[in-house]
Amino acid sequence: MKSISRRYLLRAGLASAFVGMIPKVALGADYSDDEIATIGPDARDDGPYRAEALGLLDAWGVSELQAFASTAIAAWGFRDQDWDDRKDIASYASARLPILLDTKCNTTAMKATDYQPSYLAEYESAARLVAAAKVRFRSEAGAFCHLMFADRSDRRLSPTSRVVRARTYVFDEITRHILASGGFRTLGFVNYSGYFGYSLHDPRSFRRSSK
Amino acid sequence: MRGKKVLIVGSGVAATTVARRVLERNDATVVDMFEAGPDFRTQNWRWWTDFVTTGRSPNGRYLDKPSDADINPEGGFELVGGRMIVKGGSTNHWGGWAPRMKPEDFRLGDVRKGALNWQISYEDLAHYYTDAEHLLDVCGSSETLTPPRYGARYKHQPIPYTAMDGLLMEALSSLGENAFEPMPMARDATRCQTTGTCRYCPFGARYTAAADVDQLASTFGKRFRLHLESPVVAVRMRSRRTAAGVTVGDKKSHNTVHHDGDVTVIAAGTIESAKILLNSVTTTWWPKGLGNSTDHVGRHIVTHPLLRAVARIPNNSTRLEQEVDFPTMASRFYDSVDFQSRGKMFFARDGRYILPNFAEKLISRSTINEVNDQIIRNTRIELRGLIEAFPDEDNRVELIEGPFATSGLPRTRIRYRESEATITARHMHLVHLEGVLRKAGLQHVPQEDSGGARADHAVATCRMSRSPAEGVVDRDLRVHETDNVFVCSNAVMPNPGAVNPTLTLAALALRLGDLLGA
Repeated sequence: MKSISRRYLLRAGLASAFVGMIPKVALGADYSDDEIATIGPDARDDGPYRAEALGLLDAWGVSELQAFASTAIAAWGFRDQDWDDRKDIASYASARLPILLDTKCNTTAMKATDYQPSYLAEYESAARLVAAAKVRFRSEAGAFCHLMFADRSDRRLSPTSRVVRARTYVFDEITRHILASGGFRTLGFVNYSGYFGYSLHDPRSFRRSSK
Repeated sequence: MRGKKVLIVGSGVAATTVARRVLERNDATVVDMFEAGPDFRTQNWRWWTDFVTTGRSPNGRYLDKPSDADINPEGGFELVGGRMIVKGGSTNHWGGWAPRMKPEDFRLGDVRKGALNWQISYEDLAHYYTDAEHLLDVCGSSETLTPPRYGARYKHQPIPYTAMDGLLMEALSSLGENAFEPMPMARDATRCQTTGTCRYCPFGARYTAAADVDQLASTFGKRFRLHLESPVVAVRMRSRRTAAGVTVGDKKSHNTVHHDGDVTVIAAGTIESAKILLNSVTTTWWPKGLGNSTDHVGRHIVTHPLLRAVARIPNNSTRLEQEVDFPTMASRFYDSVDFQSRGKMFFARDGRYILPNFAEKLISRSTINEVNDQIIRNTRIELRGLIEAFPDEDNRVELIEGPFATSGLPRTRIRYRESEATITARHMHLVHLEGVLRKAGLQHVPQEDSGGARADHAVATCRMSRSPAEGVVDRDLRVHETDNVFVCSNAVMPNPGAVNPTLTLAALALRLGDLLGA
């Protein structure tokens, strides 16, 4: 199990104030037994666990994943831009994320297994890992650092282990979603795949060109 | 034609456009539409969300599988990735490029050996082009000079150029007059929110035939019936000249079911349309397949070789990026009479991707500095060209006997090669594209492979001709020597011109719809 250095986290783009908040214990921590354990006896590595289980993630689970998303935003320093009146990032955890969670759990439009696998079991498992990591590392920053950055090549991690699945179906997807919801603007760009820009001829267009 | 039943094979843009026109023109007509593939949901929020959060397009599961066809690899013909076998067909992932062909494209036989002139002219099709542009919500400049528009206006204003396009304007202008123009692009400007996920739009801002099929069902009620997962494998003949209907394979039972109709329209794309005719064998009347007494069905298949020229912006400190998920600038400078005998080219500055893989870089813990450095030093700009390939009578689509593909359709054999003249044209135009990039002060990035031959642009397997001695259908798209069998797909085009064929196909479909609905 390789440990993580603060320098490495800074180079990976995490905000320095955030890196300063990460407790030392989170940097070198090994995976817990629960993180390495398989998510369930019949888990497959080609789709979410119990993909047919529809239903809404409970309020506790939503709040754990909201905390994770808010921490990710702080960690990478994603922010809304002064030149625009949009509040995509400020409202992400309270507005956009619940829609994402709902969309992936409550797939009532078609059968859950018909290319709309439910993520409910994956979300519940990931929320459990977030909650446990927060207790273990006594902070949200420590939990985020461990869950996202602890050695992904550790040989004990199987494709059906809880932490691998949480990364695949939850943490990495939420990261992509935050970027597509406006996080990309922090790097100075004006549009991104999945971002709702403005209409083609809107005078407030995202375009750099006036021609 | 009063009170007829029209059978339409396929559910893509040609099929839906013919169906709509016939149903509108003749209120006693009923249409039965047969689609080999399953249902397809447009504007499905879950599918779109998955696209954004996983990067995997919902369209991928409906593409051809490599095992569905036997294609000689050295020919470069790319089937996988081109077509979608599903309700709405390939328009569900269509890029939306919607230029008209030019008048000379209808007379290629005048300048090239082995090519045929169309049996209709640009002028015959001109007002259908206008209708098709409205149907497909095409944004474009009504002021462009070629091809002639005869005063017709686009429904939507052209989409503005992006700042990245600006890098090329001076270099293109140095070629001559009118060397670039806004790309005619099928986008409903009132719906588009520039999400960069045009291959699966959450707002329905790009025309998809799947949405059009849904509209047909709601508009025409019992006069329109859609049969999904119903692969038509043959046309069933009542006599040598007259079809009784179609034969549909049942994917589950492996039995076949007959459907009778007064008119049959095969609108199943260039490859499947030819295969259906080839599979419609009657020992007495059509022993080599329907309309194939002279061995033209499936032959002459030709498509656009795709050219790619790539350059790097030397110092992208201003962070120019691809602002929208489609090209906004096109050039028809080499798509002209002057180049027709040597091979025309249409090209555009490609606009498909918006900052790809940025999220993956963060997840894989590349440093922000590395990402920034890559943006400043390695932002690429790409020109994509389509060349009108030279015809080859030995290029063929054939049926493979034995087990069917997963779609329930017979498996396909394609024999394809690029002629020496096409290869020469490819080299000539690659030099042209690279010259534009160099002239713009960009750093050329050599490509090992400039691109293959696109299946979704393939034409000519049932080409339009004066007589059966030269082709398969007549100027009305009726199979020669039949009364009531029509082909409406890219297959009927004797040559592809240098542009995406979708708009021309929609125009042909409107024309056929008028004929059948009269």
